[in-house]
Amino acid sequence: MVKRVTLGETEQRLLLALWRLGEDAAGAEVQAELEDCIGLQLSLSAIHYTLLRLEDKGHVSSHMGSPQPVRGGKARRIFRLLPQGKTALRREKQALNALWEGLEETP
Amino acid sequence: MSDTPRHPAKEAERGLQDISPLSETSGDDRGSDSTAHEKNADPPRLARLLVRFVMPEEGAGFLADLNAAFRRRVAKHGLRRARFRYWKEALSPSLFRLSMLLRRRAKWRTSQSDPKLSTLKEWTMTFIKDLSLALRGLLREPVLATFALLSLTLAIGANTAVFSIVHPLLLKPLDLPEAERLVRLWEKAGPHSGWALSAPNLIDWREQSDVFEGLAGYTFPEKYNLSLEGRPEVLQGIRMEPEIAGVLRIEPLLGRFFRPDEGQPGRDKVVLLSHGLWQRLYGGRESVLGETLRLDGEPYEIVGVTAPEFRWPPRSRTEIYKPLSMPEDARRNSHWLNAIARLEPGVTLEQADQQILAIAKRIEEEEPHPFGERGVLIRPLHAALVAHSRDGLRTLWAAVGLILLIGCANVANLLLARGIRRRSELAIRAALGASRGQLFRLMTLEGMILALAGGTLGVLLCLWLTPYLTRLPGSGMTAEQAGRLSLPVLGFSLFVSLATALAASLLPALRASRAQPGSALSQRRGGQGEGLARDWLRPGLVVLEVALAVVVLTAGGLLAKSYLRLTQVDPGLETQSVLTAALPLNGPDYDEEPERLEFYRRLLEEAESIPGVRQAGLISLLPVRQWGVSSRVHLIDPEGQWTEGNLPTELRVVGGQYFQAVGVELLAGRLLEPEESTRAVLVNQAFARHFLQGQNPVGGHIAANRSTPPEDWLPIVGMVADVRNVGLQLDPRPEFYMPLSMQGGVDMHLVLSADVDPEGLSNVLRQRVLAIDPRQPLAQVSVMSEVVQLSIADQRFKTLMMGLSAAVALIIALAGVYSVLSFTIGRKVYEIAVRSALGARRRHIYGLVLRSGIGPSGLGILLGLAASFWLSRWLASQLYSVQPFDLTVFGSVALLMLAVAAAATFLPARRAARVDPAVSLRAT
Repeated sequence: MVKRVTLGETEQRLLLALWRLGEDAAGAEVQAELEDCIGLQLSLSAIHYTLLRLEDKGHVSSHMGSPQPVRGGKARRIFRLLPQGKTALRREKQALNALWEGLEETP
Repeated sequence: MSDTPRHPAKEAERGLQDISPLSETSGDDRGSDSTAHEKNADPPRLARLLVRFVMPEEGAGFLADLNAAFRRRVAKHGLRRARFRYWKEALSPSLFRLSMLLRRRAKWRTSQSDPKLSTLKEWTMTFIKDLSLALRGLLREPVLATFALLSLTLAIGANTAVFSIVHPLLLKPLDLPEAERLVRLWEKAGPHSGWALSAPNLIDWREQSDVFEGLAGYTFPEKYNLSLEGRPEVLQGIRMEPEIAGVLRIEPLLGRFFRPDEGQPGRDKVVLLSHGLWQRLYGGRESVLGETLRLDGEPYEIVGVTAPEFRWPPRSRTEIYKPLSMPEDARRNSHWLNAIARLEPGVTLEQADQQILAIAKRIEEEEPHPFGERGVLIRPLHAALVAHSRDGLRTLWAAVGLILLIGCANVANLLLARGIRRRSELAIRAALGASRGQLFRLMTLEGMILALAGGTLGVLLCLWLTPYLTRLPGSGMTAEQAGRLSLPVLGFSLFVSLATALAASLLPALRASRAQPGSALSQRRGGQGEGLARDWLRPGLVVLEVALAVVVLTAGGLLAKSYLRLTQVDPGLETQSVLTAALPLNGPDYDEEPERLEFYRRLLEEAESIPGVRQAGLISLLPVRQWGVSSRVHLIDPEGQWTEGNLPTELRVVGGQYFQAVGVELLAGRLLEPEESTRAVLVNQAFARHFLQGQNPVGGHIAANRSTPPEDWLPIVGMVADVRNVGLQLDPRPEFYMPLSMQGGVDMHLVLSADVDPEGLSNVLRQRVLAIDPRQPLAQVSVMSEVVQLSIADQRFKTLMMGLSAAVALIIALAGVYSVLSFTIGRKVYEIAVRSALGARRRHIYGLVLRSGIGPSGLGILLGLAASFWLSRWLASQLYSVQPFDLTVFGSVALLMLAVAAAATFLPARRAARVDPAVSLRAT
């Protein structure tokens, strides 16, 4: 069996959210996107840790953005989805689709 | 985490502009005011610091992100939810970090082979293991745990509640620097009673003594009319000498205290506001200094505001302070000043007493006092303040102390029962090598858990209860003190909980730790060898519980009966249909007597013209509530015999149809005519009883001095029935009534009798008064029955608290008897089954169980009654018209307790009688 790096459930969701947000986003937007889209509540620290781990795996890159336009605004860490991440997501989708094949009940 | 969406997906708000705090996001139906205000709110500071502390490296980027999320949530969900979520977000990495840290340290510790560390760790580990063992053990017996928790919650709650009242009133030192050196001074009237000082005496004492750092006088509470933009108001205030600031060592919050020269007539038109009044009238505006305030029609300059906690006299409702200027013509036998002094360091109370007494004697020799020699009475300020409430509070405290003992006995009993049930378990532990100490610790821990849980619940109970209790009239607490859980109170309840734990688990733990593996294990199969006869400890505890409960119940019963008697006392006047109101006439408009008399004449006219009003009258001091203006009188009786006034005689000034309005009967002679211009007085029955052996006093004459010229002696024109003017619990004192026209009072109370509901009259009355003088306020408007009720508010509060204590004692004792008995029955199922198999009837079984329940209870009742008989003598001073050994109370308590014991026994007895021998014997 070929050993392949798979994505965990939370990882997939974070990457998808990042994608939906147009590839460049900070943790707070990811959190809002997940809450608004599927009602998933993740703590910001969990999001940060997971995204940093994904950075280690090479799916995501990150850099410090410019300071926010509010009183005392500080720079935030901005995450970007890399092509490698998109590939991984597609692979996961295909895998899931393949598994779903023939299981779908009539609507 | 579940992957089903918690709410239907909705169109996402995307992009940075949506989460920017500057944009108004949709989905917000709150008012724009709150959003505008909340939008600028900062995230919780503490949580921010926490994040920075926990995540130093990623902190900055993460924090900025967290703040952005916060602002989005404020706009979307409101500040509260955003703050809550922020905390959650801040805590989750902290907890994660903490757990990592602990794990790493644990690993590090195990890798180190420091023997010291490992013993400590071992100890901690065993402790935690024991703790969870004890906790699980208790959870496995929910009924027992509930009963124990109930007892402890009630007992500790009652103790905390009472302590939170006792502490600020009795124990806490006053909020003044070195308050232990402050003393109050009086001129001695009896062994424990004193007169207020006269101004010359106060000045002489101050000037001739060197035992005090300072000595200052102040008046009794006075009423001032405040005119402030239309609506007149009555303020309570006092006048005090400027020296008092030095004596008390107080600093005003704002401005300054009175200057020494402001204690002179003419320069005393300055006032100090209390913090509360400053807040109420000026909303805490600091520029108030230098402004003027019109009191009694005269302008006063505001020179300062007192500190928030300052009240003088302590615990009073004083709102305003004026400087006291000593009148030039002050007489030595006119007693109207309170005195406070600060002892020089190192000077004792006795030394001060001796010196002032010597000064008083010297004054006495120079100017003999008309009423004979006077002593001096000096008391520490704190003792003087608590004097009247001390006995009641101590009784209450003793009662809740007994309740705590009952609770302890109860829990001890439950733990004993548990120890017996666990005997085999403990034996196995001992056989496997558990030391006595370990077994002891295991058992004590259970008590500790119960007591701490009970203590927490008790404090919560107390927190919930005290605001209600302390708001009741008669609690003697101010609003600020009410329901505040101070550190000493919390400390006290913690101490009580731990002491309870120790007391309750000591015996059971000792017993359990003595477990003999052999004997206990050999009993294991049968396990039913537990007879009542062999165990004296548990019934003994029941006896103790019941006896203590009887003591508390008896004390409660005696106080309740005394209070009941007090409410049944006929005050001697009509209370339901009578309205009273205070009308202090102050200020330049009423300086002259004719002006005051004219005001009162018009007032009475107006009042009587109100529809529904029958009669209107005036009196200087409200009946039942107020007294203390007295004088010694000399009497020439109708036969011309002279009698010396050996008893202070109360003086009241009356006007209008006072006696008709309050329904006081005329017994001899005639009443004072409303327009009485001649000099004449009325006396009461007590006067005739005391001075004339009950003979008719009409025709006699009285005077303050024997040397009064004969034409100035006042004729007694009539005698009226007694009114309990000095308080319901005291016999009426000799009194005389003077007509208003003779005395021209300044501080009178209006009294109206009405055919309609008197409370409905207050608004009309207020309008009528304003029509006469738009600057004249009306204060303390209340129905006479309320006035009477308020006079016994102290007793009512005390009785209520004792009643609650008695109820708690009863509940705990009931729980104790029931739980012990039902446990015993559970143990004796085998014995009962054998008995019924051998032919015992159901009523025999009932009898057996009832006897084993009621026996100890009966003994407890007898012991409790004996203890009450011995203890209740200390209650005697607090009882009114009830003997300390009141048969009805003692009998009712005994019957009640017996009934409760029978009720608690009945359920277990029924269970025992239903035991099916076949089933039970087979089961064992």
